Amino acid sequence: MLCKIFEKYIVLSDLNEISAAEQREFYNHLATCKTCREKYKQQEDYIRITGELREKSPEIPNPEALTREILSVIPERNPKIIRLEKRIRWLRIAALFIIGAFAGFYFQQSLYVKNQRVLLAVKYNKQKSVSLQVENYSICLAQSKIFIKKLMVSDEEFTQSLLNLASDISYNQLEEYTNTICLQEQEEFLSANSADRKKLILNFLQQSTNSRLPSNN
Amino acid sequence: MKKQRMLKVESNIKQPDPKIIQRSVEGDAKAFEVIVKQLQEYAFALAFRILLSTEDAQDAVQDSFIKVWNKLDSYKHKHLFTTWLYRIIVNTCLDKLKLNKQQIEYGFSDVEVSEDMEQSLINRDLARQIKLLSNSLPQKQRLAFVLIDLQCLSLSEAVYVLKLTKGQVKSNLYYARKTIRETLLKKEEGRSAYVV
Ligand SMILES: [Zn+2]
Repeated sequence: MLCKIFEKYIVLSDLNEISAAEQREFYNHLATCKTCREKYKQQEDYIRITGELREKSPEIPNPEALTREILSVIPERNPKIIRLEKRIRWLRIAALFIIGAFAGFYFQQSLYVKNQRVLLAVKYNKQKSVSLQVENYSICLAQSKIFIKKLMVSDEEFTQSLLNLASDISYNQLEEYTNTICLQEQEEFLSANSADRKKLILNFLQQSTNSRLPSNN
Repeated sequence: MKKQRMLKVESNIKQPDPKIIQRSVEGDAKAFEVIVKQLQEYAFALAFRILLSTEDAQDAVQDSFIKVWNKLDSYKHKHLFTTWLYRIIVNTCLDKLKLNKQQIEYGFSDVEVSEDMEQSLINRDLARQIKLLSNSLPQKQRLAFVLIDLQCLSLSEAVYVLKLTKGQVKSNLYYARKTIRETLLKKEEGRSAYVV
């Protein structure tokens, strides 16, 4: 059994890292086992013979001629074509980047559509008579982004809250409110009780109307 | 009992200058000539030890360097340049062995006759010695023996060149060495001693 284990060590001694303790065990075994000693000796012969064989390197009959021959058949590579290939590679990267940017834009658009869906839900449930025509909103992009993100999570709750108010406040007012409030204001809205919610919207709309009016001073 | 002599397993070939490689990637044939001159001897030694024929080895070296030229821009600096070159040479040699086998099957076996005329005495003698030791080995065992014991590649280099796992290379080398050792023993028993 030990002989079999040690044979691997004898044959692959240069590749197998064994601990000092294992090495001691190996040499102790070697001192008592004739078979392993013979194998070990044969392995030394192997190392000697392959070592000698390794020292004798085959020779290229005519090295210069071989170099010439190799260089004579390498297909020419025009530096201009290589530069062009590099440029094409860069264009590919740029194209991928543009596609990525467009995908991002459409994703954002889909969020905007979701926002519109909330408004439409309000509209069809309570304000059926109001025209579908959508005004040109003056949405602050940064605010909308945060708001839309929030809307993705609190979609139902926020919609429901708006629906509850839809009989008291006109669709156009709700629409303007949902399109211009920021995240903080939305949170304020959601944490307020139903009576205060209406007040919040009206205050908000009043303020935003004032800020749009030209100053009298 | 004296400690067993270790085999040299680290590849110590001087690598081509990265600037020269870069210039070759950009299509500079003069720079590529520097690489060819620097490495053709090592390339030839490996090809010869696999193919055991001067003419075939020269063809394989030429084909390999053409492949290197064409694939230079795909060379990742993850491995040594010579290790990458060795992998290409081994693949080229294996293709050549396949082709030679086919040629023999189809009756075009005049290759060996013509090359013997030009082959130097040293090479012929060397081919005979390597053949004597390793001819009976299966291909993978023979390649493991040539790469590690004759070309001094490290185990990890051989793993990359042969596209095998560490365990597979070790086991192929184990059986190769065992068989060669037994061949040597038989020769010793048959005659007084084997002389290289
Ligand atoms: Zn034993």
